[in-house]
Amino acid sequence: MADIEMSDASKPSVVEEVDPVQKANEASLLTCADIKKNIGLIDKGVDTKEMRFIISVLRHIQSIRKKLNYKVLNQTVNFAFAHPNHSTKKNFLLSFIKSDGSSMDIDSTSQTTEKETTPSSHMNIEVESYIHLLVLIHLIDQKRYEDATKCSSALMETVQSNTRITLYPLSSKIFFYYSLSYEMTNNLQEVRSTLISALRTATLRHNDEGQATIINLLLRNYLEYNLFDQADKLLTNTQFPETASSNQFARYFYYQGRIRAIQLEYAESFKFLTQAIRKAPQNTAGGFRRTVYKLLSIVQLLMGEIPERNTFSQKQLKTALKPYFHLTEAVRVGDLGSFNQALEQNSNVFKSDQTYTLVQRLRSNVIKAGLKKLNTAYSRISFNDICTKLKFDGTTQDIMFIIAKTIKDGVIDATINYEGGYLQSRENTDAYSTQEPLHAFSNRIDICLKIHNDSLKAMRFHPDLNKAETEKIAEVAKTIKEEMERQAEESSDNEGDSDF
Amino acid sequence: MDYSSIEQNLNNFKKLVAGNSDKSQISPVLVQLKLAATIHLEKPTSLSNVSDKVKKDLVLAREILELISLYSIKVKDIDSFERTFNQLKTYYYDYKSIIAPSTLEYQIVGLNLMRLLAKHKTSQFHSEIELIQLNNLDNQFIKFPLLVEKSITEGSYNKIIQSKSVVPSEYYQVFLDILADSIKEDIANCSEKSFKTLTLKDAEKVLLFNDNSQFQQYIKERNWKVQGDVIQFGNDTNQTVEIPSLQLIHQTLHYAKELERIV
Repeated sequence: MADIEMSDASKPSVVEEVDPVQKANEASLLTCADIKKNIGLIDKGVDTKEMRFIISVLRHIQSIRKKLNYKVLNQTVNFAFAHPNHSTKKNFLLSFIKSDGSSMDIDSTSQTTEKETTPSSHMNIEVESYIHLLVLIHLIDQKRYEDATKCSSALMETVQSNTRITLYPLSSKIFFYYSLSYEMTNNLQEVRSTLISALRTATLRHNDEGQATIINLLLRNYLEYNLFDQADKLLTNTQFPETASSNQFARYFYYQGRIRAIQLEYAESFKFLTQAIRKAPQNTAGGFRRTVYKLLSIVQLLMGEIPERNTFSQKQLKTALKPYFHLTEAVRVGDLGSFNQALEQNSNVFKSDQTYTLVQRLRSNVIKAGLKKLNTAYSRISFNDICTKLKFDGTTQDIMFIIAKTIKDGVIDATINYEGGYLQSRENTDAYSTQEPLHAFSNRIDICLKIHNDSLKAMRFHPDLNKAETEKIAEVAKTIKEEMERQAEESSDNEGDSDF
Repeated sequence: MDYSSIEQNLNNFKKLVAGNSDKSQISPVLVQLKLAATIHLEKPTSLSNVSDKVKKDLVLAREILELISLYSIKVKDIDSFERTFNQLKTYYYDYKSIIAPSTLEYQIVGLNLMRLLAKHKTSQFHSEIELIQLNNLDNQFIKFPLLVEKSITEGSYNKIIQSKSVVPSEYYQVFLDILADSIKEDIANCSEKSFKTLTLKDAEKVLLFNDNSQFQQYIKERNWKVQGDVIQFGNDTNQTVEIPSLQLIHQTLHYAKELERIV
């Protein structure tokens, strides 16, 4: 989601290349240097078994991604796979890059780099995968998806056949781009079995981040084909690792929210979707938040709640949420006419947002909202009038059954008089004579207590500070002990003296 | 068993079903066909490069399963229908790219939707709907269960009963009959809540009864009070408000415990 948007963002850098060649060259040299530095870092990370070096390299992938071009990649590949032992891999990667343009240029740059470095035969699998990944990302950015699928499949094989812990952080990125490349060629179903086996290995080897990524990819995969049954089964049979990054959690919650919404469990769905918004990055990933808010507003409507107005007036979301805003207005007023109108006008939007079937379910909510309004406004109203007021397209007999059901569902408090053919609303009962206020207060108190407990749990103490403190305490304890021992000795000495 | 003998078996089966033969005559053929569809007919190992022979086998297996599922509905064996449908799903969704769609597909998918409705499995019902492409939702076989579902959630029970006359195929009738009973229950529940009194004549109309003696028995089952020709629904308005003492104790103790932790 977030990463798909990024591919659009990388366009300007391609344009930049065209103007001043000098500048472009300089930029690509810099990028090359960056990548080389990163390779060094990865090597260091592998040698010292320190994951943080590798993770910091991965964090820079997005910034490097914008600067990637065939020249840079060529140079890097030639640099990294300089030793003849790696020539097959080198040629494989170069075959993807070459078809990009002027081959003359490539040769000259590659020769210079080869002279400079003294190639070593040893090469870390992590470095190899890193460069392979860069090539893959480049292919996706260039919209050469066919090549990207080939490239990513090869990369998956290398990752799957190696199970080094230092490869874990890289592997989750690789899984993501692997799935993405297939998604772009509309062949998502082909990767399903590979992903499932990858999930198994990741789970067995405690590759938490990889596991989280794959679960999300699989969910996305299933939902792409509307396989809600399978997705639901995956959810019940897997456990999402708690150490996963919040971005993965956001995705996971979103998918869960969607599945629950389809299964009519709106309250659950609402919970997941709000969590998804909280976990999602606040300033970036606009596309993700748009999608979540769209679904969220509909789920809220289906629950019988009206989404707050300011969700629709957020700057980034205003235009995207417009159809949903109209829908909300229609539901709030309970006007079937304007609801149908909003549905018809925006049906294409809803279809492309995959919310169409959900929106269709709203019809009964509109009727209920309308009835609720009528019930509060009139103490007695005939079925005929209700039909005209709601612009209901059916007989009075139909509306009577609907009213009966709404009364049973507890939406309105009224009785029907069949002979007279009217709806009689009951006297409003005093809310304070019921248990309602008690429940409301109890809920609030629970929330407050939960916040307090959660914030206590979330408080972190600096590990070193803690260590220093415990050391200090230990030291004090030691001195006290020594003191006591000395005193004991002295006293025993004294005792000895007195004995003499 | 080879292709031609299976085909022959299938024709035999069709004839028997069409001739309304006895169950004991049909069941041996049925068993053989089931075996043929699951074991003897070949299935592709991957979706690319499927040979024509395998495709032919797939189409035949699908036809067998389709006919079996329709037959199960005919004899009102809903469980068997469910089993066969689950087998058919592979043919409809996974092999979609390699074999031409079947003419019976929408009818059977629609029947499955009706089954889910009749069994009150609404969440599964909606999952299944998501699998159907949007432009196919207007198909008469699919549209019907959708309409029924909409009427149920809305409360337009009238419409469902009326829809009996416009069923897209005779097989749907089985499920509508199952639904009719549960609808009657629903209406009765609604009536209890929404009416204070109702004359017997009107009640018969509201509850959609055609037979007076059935209706009388139903009133007895429901324990409704009849005074003269008016049913009195026991809307107990003067319920005594109880103090939920146990719940309150639990709550207060809970607060005390939590406060203890803070202070």
